[in-house]
Amino acid sequence: MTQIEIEHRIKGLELELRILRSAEEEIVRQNDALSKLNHFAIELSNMSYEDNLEELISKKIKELSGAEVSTFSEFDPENHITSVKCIELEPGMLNKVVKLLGKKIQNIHSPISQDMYEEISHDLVGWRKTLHEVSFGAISRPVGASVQALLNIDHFIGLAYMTEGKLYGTSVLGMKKHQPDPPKKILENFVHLAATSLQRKQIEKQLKIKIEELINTNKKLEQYAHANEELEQFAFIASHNLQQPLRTVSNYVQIFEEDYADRFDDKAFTYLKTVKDSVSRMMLLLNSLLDFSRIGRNIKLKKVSCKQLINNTVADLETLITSTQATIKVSAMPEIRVYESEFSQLIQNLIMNAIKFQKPGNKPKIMISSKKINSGWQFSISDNGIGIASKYFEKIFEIFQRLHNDSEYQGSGIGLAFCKKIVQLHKGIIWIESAEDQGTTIHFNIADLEE
Amino acid sequence: MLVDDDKSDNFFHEREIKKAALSTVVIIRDSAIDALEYLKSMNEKNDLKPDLIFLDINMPKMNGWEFLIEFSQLDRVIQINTMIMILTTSNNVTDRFRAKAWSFVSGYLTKPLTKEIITDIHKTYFLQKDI
Repeated sequence: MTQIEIEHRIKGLELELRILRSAEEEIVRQNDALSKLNHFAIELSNMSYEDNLEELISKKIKELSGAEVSTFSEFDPENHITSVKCIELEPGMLNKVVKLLGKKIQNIHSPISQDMYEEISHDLVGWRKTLHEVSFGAISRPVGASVQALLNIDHFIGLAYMTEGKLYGTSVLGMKKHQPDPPKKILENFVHLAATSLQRKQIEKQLKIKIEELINTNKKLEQYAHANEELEQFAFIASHNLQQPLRTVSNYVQIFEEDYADRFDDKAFTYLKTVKDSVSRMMLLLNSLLDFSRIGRNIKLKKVSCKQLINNTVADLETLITSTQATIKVSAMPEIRVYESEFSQLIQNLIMNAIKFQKPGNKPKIMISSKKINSGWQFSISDNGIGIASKYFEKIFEIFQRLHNDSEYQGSGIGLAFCKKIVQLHKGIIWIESAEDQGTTIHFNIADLEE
Repeated sequence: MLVDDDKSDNFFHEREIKKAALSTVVIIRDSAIDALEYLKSMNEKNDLKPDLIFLDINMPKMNGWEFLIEFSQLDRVIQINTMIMILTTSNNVTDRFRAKAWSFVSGYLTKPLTKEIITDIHKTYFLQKDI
């Protein structure tokens, strides 16, 4: 081997060594980055959504990339705007940057157009850009250039934290001259980790809001149910206790009639009759109120044949039906689980209404039918009665609401309120279809009820 | 025998009983405790033994249910010879069931007691006897 050949060989070896060294350095750097990434992943998994995730992300990405400056901006999906949340920069420098920008870092808002959004989603890690570009145009070219010069930055890297097609935020990294760029793969992994965490944080936040909403609704429902219970209890006790003195009045009116009949004149009898009528009307009201407040107490679901139940109810109303010459047709009926006595009371009330609200002398024709609906059964009872104007459709289901005075049609004003309560007990709704002089159809649903 | 804390009810019910069966002696006690006292001591004092007690439920101090418990502790002879009917304002199904649990309770009536009801009871239970 000649001298020259040896020198060549040495140079060649030195070159190889240098390449090997730099490769080794690269491996060390990558290893270092990988271990930082690992630590970041562990820290993320321990975070709750209340911790400041954004700050952690911008700190870690600065550490990982060796950048001079790093930021984190939050994306508002409703307005398609990112807003800077935090920045990692030495405070003295930050003041100078703020002066150059002419506004606080937190006031930098970048609207993201649909095109930009598309572009970002194709490349979550954007290399070698200007500040103007990575700020999506929020910082002008000249201002961006002066900031770049001030911080002695060679170029910027933009990161987009996006997962499953949804953007959660962005970061800007300012890389110094002669500072090697971090491996793209590492940055991509970081972006993925951060994006998933941001996604998790948002889901947890939404979940918490939903849970709070549910708790609030539940509380309101409980309060409502409690108030309702108290009200029913009150109605029950009040009507029960009012019965006693009322009965005494009625009894003593009777005594008056029996013992003093010979000393009364016609006028006195008229007055006494008015007292008696009022008392019996009040008794009717009190009894209805008592029955009304009793619905839902001590009840048990039972599978019944509706056909059988309706037939029994019709049989109970035999006298009324015969005297009014009413005809009642019942179509096919299912076997379902209901609160038996309440359900038959419901049917009875509706039949009685259909018979009652007729023009004098008109023969009531009543049709009862059923059909299967999604989550239960719908029943309909139609008649050929006087009907009702649509403006009263809501009012008639309220307690003590009446459309007629006693001389036209007698009643307590409780019948349909009663029906509504029973239907609600069966987790259904009741409504009316009618027009004046056109007859009336009452529809109601009964849900499939489990014991 | 009428056991009811409401004096005007007692007055009215006595009238109705008398209307149905004039010769009936009506003993009136306006508390369950007094009524129980009467039943306990009637043998010694040679008092009239009631064939039928109309018992109110809702009474202060001792209510109708408590009276029934006390009544069940009395001499068997009294229990056999005395019929009890509940006479109350409440038309409650639960109360009706509760009344049925006692063998010596033969009826559950809601106020007011009328001449017709008395006549009915007379026909059903006391045809051979005078109440």
